[in-house]
This record gives sequence, structure tokens and C-alpha cells, in this order.
Amino acid sequence: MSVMELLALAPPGWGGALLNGLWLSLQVAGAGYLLGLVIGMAGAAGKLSGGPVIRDLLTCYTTITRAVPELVLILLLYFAVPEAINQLLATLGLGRVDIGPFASGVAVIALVQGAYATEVMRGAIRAVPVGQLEAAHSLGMTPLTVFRRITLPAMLPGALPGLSNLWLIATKDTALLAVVGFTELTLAARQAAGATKHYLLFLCAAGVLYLIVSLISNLAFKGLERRATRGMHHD
Amino acid sequence: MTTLHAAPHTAADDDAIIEIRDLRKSFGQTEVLKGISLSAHRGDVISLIGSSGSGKSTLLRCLNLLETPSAGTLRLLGEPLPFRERGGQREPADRRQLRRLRARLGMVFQGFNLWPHLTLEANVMEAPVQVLGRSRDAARAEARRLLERVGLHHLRDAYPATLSGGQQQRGAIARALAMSPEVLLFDEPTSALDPELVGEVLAVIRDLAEEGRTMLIVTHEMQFAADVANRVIFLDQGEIAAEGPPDQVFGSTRTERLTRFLGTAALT
Repeated sequence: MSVMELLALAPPGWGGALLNGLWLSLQVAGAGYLLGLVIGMAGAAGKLSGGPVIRDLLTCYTTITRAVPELVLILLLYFAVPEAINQLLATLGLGRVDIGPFASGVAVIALVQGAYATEVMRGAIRAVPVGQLEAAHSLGMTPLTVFRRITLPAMLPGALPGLSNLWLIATKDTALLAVVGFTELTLAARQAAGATKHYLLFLCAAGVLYLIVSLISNLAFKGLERRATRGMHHD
Repeated sequence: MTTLHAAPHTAADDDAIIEIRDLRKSFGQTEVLKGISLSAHRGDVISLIGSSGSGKSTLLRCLNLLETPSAGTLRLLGEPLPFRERGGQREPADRRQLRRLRARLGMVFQGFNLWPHLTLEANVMEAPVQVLGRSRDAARAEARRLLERVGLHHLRDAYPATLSGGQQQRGAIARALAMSPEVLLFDEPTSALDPELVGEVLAVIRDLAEEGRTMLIVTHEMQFAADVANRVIFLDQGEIAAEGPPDQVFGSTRTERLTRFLGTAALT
């Protein structure tokens, strides 16, 4: 078969399978990333203004999550955690639940991204000049209003470079889900390569697709940064 | 409503609008305010003067609780402000009351503190919309009137970073005025400005004083302090060292400490 035939969208070409894998990768990465941002926001708020217990718990979370390899977390969440839950449910006389590879993938990425995002946002929030917050408080704003209207937009320029990195990492972390048999882009490429023995072609094709995702993401984040720093000094 | 040129609406009363008694504030081991008592009435313009570290900015920041006093009692706009202890920290007992009072006390900072992600007009609109629940249209119309008044109408769509210090400070004054505050607190409003920009800000403040607004002004501009105020308070090492009408405080009966301070002030 020629290269074009191998990469054709319809079988026996493998192009469709690759794109399908890419779509699954993006879904897992997107859902995990968004959840991670929510965790990161809550984590940063907790670390900066929570009580000592909350702060210690969050430090445990960010330290452990960032220390353990993601591959280990994926195996834990895919094999060990469902097993534990099911044993617990069985002792309660309840039926089994099944955590599919998609859900565990999203959970792992959210957990890991949340830990890193906590630190990125904590740093960015701390860099907001305190006078801007005092001005908001002096006008009678509630803490929530201050956070939503002043802290959040003021910290974005500082947070976006870190957050854009995290997104790129999230898209590539999805490749780890291949170990639990989730046919995201990398596994799809390996299957295509194995079936046709054209390893170089399909792994490069996967690489090109990851690269395209990165380039488009960069453009999107550049646009966001331009918007967030509107009115501020540009160099 | 003609809030622009009328003094804030109020029933005539003789009660103090701000009253503090034996106010103390310590940072760690250092006692910055050592028992300050003062009261301000509606229409008062009070200049707070004193050398750096005398506690005058801390005193002003205690008045809207940006700093929590370590001891003493506080009555703002006729309401006593109770404190409580929590986790070894003293704090206002009623956050809701605090926010309600803060909304009626305008504060102008040394560093302007405009929000850099908002245009000048949006800066002025923000608190009326978010705190008072005004409609955006009403807030925008009021913001434009106020910016016109401080001479910045043509810059309403500019972002703070593109403005001079004097323009930013006039914008910050408009932002405070947008809440129709009953008292204006100025914390060294011209100290961060280049000398040639001081005049435009002082002119705006003088204008506000002349319309009968209640104001407390921490300042290093002695001539201005004397001109604009009906009362001058001289703070020295955390205590009120002299207090009275400007001609009396600065006049022939001035204390030795004040003379010494004015001597150094004139040199700088």
C-alpha cells in the first residue's frame, strides 16, 4: 500500500483511526484540564486564605501528586481504586461499579493538573499588588466580588504562561492512557503500526498531530494573553 | 441628583461622623499609635500632619479598618463598631456592617491603586455596579460626570498604565466619589507624584473641600494642609502633639515639637 492509502480515512487506511484517537485524547485532556483548573483555583484560594488544617491538607495533596509518576497514578486509579470501591460496595451488599478508562483518565489528569495549577495560580494571585485589593475592600466589596472582579482578572497575565504549559502537558499526558488499553492517539498509532509494520510512518503521523495541537493551542493562548494584558505595559 | 456640587445629603446633627477614643495600634512589638482620640463632624476638613513613621497613615487606615486597631473604640457614621477575637486576632465583629460602612467612606491612596485591567471609566463604574447594584447605564453616566469634573472626560477609555500619576490620582478620586461617600479619606494623595503634577490633584481636593465635604487628609504639603483644613492634627511618635485651627497650630503658639518638624519639612 502507498503512504496515501495507509493514511486514508476509510479502512483499510488507518487515518480515521488516528483521528478518532486524537479526538479521544483531546476530550480526556480537555475535561481533565478544565477540572484541574477548578481544583487549582480552589487549591490556590485554600492555600492563601484557608485555615492551618486546610493549608496542610493542600500541601500534602500538591506534594504527593507532584511526586508520584503519572503512570503510577493512572494504574492506581484504573486498577486499585475501583477494586477498593467495589470491595467496599460488596461489604455493604451493593452492586459493582465500573470506572472506565475514559473516566479514570480524566480523573488522573484533573488530579495532576490541579496540583500544578494550584501552585501556578497561588503564585499569580500573590503577585497582584495588595493596594488593588485594598482599594476594592475600601469600597465595600465582598471577598467574593473582590476575587471575581479584581483578583481573578489581575492575576491572569501572571497565570496564563503557566496554564498554557499545563495544557500542553495535559494533551501529551493522555498518551499514558495507552497502558490501560484506552485507544487514544498514541495507542491508535501503535495499533496501526503493528498491523501494517509501518512504524516510522504512523508514529510520525501521531507526532505531527500532537504538533498541530500544540501550535493551535499556542495561538489560542497568545490571544488569551493579549486579551488579559490589555491596557497593561507591553514590551 | 446633584451630588456633584451639593454636600452629601444628611439630616442636620451635631453628632460626630467619626469618633475614636484611645485608639492603639501595634505591629508586633512596635506601638505605632499610642492612644489617639479624635472626632470629626460633618463638614470638617482635617489635615493630619507629622513626620514619616508618626502613625498618621496608620491612623487613617484604621478608620476604614484596612488596619484593625489593637485597642480603643470606634464610631463611624454614628454606629459603634464592635470587635471580636478570633484565632488570637482582633477583627471587626460584623463583616456586613464593615462593608456597609466602608461603602460610605471613600479612600484615596498614595499609590492610586486603580485596577489596571479596567479602563478609567470602568474603574469608576465598578463599585457602584458591584456594591450598590446600580445599573451599568446609570453608573456609566455618573462615571462620565465625575471624570468630567476631575478633568479626565477625554481619557475615559484609557487604561491606567497609559496615564500620568496626576491623572491616575484624579481618576482614583472620581472612583471614590462614585459611591457618594459621606467622608473622604486621603492617604498622602500627592506623595507619589512628580512635583509638577501635585498641583492638579490638590486643586481637585481643594474643590471638594470647598463644597463642604467631610474629609481627613494625611499630607506632607504644609501650605495645603493649612489652607484647606479647618483643623490640623499634628501626630508625633504615635500621639497627638498639637491640634486646632490652622492659624493656631501653625501660629505663634506652636509647640516646640511642631516647630522642629516644620523646620525639617521645609528642608525636604
